[in-house]
Amino acid sequence: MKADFRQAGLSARDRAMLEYVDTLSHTPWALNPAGVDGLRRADFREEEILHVVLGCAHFNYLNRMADGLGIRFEYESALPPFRPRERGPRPAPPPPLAEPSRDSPEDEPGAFYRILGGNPEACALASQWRAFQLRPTPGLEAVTRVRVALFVSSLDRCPTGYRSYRRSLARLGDDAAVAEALNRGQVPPGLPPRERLLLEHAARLTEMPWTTRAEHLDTLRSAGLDDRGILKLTMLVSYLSFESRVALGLGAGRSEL
Amino acid sequence: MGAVEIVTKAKDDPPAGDGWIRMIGVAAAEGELKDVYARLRAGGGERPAVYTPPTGEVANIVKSHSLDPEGLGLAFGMSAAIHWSPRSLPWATREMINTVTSSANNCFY
Repeated sequence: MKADFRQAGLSARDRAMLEYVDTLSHTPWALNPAGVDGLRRADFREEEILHVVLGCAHFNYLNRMADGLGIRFEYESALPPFRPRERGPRPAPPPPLAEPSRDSPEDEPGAFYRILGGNPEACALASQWRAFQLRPTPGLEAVTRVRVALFVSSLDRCPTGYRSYRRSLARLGDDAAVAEALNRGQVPPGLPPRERLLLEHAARLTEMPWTTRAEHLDTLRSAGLDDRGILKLTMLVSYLSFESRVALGLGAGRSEL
Repeated sequence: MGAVEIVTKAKDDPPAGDGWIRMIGVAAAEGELKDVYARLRAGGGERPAVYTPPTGEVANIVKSHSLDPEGLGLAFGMSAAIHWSPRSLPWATREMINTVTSSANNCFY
């Protein structure tokens, strides 16, 4: 299972589920409505599909927290040691998302919450968790947080996050050229070095979290982040991977494009 | 896309402590952190023993959030809502999802 679930002799139903999970983790933008239909044909009910996606999305959060903070594995196990796969960078995503076709007075991604309706407790927590991640803290001000959010949503080609954070950034009065660059998955060249460093770290955690090293955190410290600031940044970026996967895995916001 | 640079995960430099940032365990926790740990422990009473680290401490993935008790409560409150509610998928199914997700992300932990 750890090495290659396709060789694990699983049922067709489990195999269909894990193919979806693998794609959602590695190339979430590649999912489309046909993928969810495949799960339905494999006899998954709507509530089960919701929890497949939520479970995968939350582990995308935990994986980035673990690798982003170098957490030591403390459990005993009789299983053979984990041998990571050789894996190159993620395949190139599709072109950047277009400018939102219509504006909205709200920054809240309504489609994101509606799609979580099958688990009211998770839906309520999602709203609180998002608000927490966007709340400014010393060293990670509101504009910086929303820039990171737009950048990560754009790297994942997540329309729900992209639309919402783009509106938020405009409302905060940020330079439109900065938003354009972030939407292209680029670190805007005109930003101060510290801001660029934060975005580069966000890209690493989003795209290849397993390549994070202790030295990267030392660089963040030299830019003024203490351990709590590093934790805050890691939580924000990891949360965004959760949010993108929930939205893309369940098709939130597709009809709004 | 051009030539693919193969990147291998090499956590061959394990941290001296439990991670690369400071973490506060149950014994040293005070105030809001102590409350959050207590709430998580109370909510996890019926979970299989396999999730309890051999040290008897909270898991390092939980402890890694300890400098921000509010973030800790939200992240693992969400975990409980997804993985440990009456709506949750069966345990074996959840573990398959967790394993394949972690493998896709090359996450050792």
